[in-house]
Amino acid sequence: MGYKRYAFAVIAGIAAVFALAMHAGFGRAEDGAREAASPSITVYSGRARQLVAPVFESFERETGIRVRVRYGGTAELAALLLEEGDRTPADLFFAQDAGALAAVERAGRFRPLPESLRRTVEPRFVSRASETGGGWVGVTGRARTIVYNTDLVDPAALPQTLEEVLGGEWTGKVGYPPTNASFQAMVSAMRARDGDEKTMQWLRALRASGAKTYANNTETVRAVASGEVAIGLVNHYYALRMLTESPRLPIANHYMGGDDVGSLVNVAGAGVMRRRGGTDATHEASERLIAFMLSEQAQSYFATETFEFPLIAGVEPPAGAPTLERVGAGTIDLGALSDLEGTLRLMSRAGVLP
Amino acid sequence: MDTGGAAVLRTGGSGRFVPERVRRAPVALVIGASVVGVLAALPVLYLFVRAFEAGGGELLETLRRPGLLALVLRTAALAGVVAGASVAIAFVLAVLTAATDLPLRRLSSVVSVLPLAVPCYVGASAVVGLSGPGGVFEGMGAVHGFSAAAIVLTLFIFPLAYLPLRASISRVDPRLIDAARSLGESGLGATLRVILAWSWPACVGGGVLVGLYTLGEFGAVTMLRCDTLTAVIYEQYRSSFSRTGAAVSSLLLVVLVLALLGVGGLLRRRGKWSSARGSSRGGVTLRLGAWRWPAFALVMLIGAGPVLLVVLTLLSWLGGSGLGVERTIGGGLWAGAATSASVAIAAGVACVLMTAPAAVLAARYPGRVSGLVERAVSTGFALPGIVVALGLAFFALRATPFAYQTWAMVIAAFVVLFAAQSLMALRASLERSPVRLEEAARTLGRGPVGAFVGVTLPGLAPGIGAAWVLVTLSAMKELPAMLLLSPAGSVSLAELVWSSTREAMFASAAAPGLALIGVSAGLVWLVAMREGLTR
Repeated sequence: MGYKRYAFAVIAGIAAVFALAMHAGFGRAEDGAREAASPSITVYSGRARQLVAPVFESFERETGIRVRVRYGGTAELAALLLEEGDRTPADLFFAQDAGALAAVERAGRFRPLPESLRRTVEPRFVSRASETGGGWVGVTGRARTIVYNTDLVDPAALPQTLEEVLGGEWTGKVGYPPTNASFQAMVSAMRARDGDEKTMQWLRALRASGAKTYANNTETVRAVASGEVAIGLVNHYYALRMLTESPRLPIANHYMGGDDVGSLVNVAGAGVMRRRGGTDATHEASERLIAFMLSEQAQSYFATETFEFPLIAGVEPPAGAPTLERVGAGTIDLGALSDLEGTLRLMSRAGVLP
Repeated sequence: MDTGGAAVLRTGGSGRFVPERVRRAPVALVIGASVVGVLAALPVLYLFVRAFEAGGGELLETLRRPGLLALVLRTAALAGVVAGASVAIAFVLAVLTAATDLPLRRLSSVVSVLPLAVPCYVGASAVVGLSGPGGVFEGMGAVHGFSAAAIVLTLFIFPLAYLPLRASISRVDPRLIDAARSLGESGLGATLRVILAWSWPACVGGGVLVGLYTLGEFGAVTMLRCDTLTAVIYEQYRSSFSRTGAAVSSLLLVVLVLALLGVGGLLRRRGKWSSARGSSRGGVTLRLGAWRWPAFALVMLIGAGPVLLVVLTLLSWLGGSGLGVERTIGGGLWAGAATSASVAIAAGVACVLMTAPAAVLAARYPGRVSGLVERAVSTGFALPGIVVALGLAFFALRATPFAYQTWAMVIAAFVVLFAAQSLMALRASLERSPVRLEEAARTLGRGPVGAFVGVTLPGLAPGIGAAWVLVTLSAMKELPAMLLLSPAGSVSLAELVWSSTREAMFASAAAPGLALIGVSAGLVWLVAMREGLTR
């Protein structure tokens, strides 16, 4: 009896080890064969596989450069990159928000980008000159927006600034995700524009107006769809995406014009890593990948499939969204959004974070 | 013949064996046990490096953070509530499936372990989905907070306590119940009291395991908006990128782990009068009479109910829209299933092999070394995955760069994260196999090695299946270490589920979610059929 149990465990173990060996062995053989022909690069992607894998795949097809991708949370990967230092195996970091890019840049982990790449997008979506000399460039735009319930709200009555969200007819009818990175980036932008004092007042007033908190953008949009709240402060693409999954949901986006941070445009962006194993070939391949992500083909993929704003001229915005020029907050320096710690302290003093 | 190293045991009046003096453990055993202990202690060492590198300033600032005490108390309370509730549920199910004439006992036992096949973050997102627009519970208001987290965690991890309890209760000494009856106690109450007393060490062990798990749980608590220390640790990695604050919070979590182990030790001693004794036969069968089928329904409700709810939710997401489904089914789903299953199976085997010496040491030569090893692996189990991953990355990049981000490293991380479960199962199994058999073997002239191979090792056998399945299931579901340490370009089921739910693409989360639950349920079934679980 005992032997049978052992046999079972041993067989399972051998099978597993065998499977792994096959896995590893095949992987390596394949690598070797391809590497001889063209370089291969490793990407740390803070953006989900479902959203960006097709872009990497078409890049591989077009250039013959092999792209190995590690998918993970933007923050976790940034922490790993900082832990790894110049020992990192990553050639390129593709992050979901400018804050993480700025933190990696401050630590001196990015290489400088060629001027030709930096000029592809508007200056507000590129890292500014810095001490470390390294830099990143925005790939797609993600706007803050007000999502509203079309059954409950008359579009003409929607607030035009974040000040108008406080109190009045919106008392108790606003939802927002205080722990969400994009919401916090918006608060950082408000601090950069109005100073800590005014930002604190706005946060306190928001809380006092009975606004409801949700775990993330998705939950906030769901609450708007169910009528639990009438409007929500979220990123623009959640409603667009949910409407393609369930077209009958009573939700729509409202963009605030002018210079209001309520429609701040943050970016997903990328930079090339400084690393010990890096060669001219891998650096060049990484820059080619960034250039590819900024090509018309990839930009219109992002606009139609991930509902994000293209950052190069001549590509249509996502269906149901205005062009980027008509979305506000053009003067905010995205580099100023990196003081997340200060923002979190302010938010917790205002009582909107535990 | 040398008898110097052998134990001299005397039989106490109660028939219990009491070691007269602490025996000295074989050196090879101590070394073998220390390997897993040192490995599991690496992340803690890393935390000390990171917490103190910036001087004391940031450390003090983190400790002075407003609301820290409330946070620590809430975390401890959640661990306590989930542990208590899990043990209560596990006790009821274990009694029903191991000590009654419940119909379809084999099926009932398997179903009682089934919730482990569902990752807590999937359970939580299903619950959140059900209470959202278009969900079954729409209009009941948002489901979140402390009680929601406590309920969801209890429903999906109580089997961690069920497995040791079932093993213990299936060996209840029937003479104890006869004795209780002969002393004038009668009825069901007396029998249950005897069973509770008998299985008390398993209750405490299972409760501690559930508590440790709860301390390190991340996905469900954040999804249900119950702030715990682990949620804050992730928050700190995200916001500061300095890693010092996160390291200080993680060390606080280590303090909670030690406190939990201390409470466990105290509780275990309270029940010492009934401590488990070697008994190779035993077991009782209570007659349920008219309650047989209602009791069976209860087991199905608790074991299969939540699992079914999650599976149906995932199916409705899958059917709700064609969008995104073919994307994941086409790309990566099969590769992900193959990778997840083979890595998890290998991690299970590695964990069993590596913790076996520690289990023998803890069961036969309890002392300072075994205590330290137990604390180290318990800490590994309770630390958030990202801390363990970053800690191992720190050492691997400096000491073994060739192994960095290979499967070997993922498996090492899984050993650190899950050795506690394997150790618990193996140790419980050894403690049920009588010491006196080994002593007899020694007295009959077997050398220490002979006695070990011939008698001690077979004593491990009944626990191997449980240890392996616990680790393998955990490894299937694990996310942060897999994301950060696996070779770039690989794909796992957990990652597919996570990246879809993160982007609110529920339709594409459904397919890998169902595959994950399916493969895990298959493993539970396989082991349940092979193992003593159903006897």
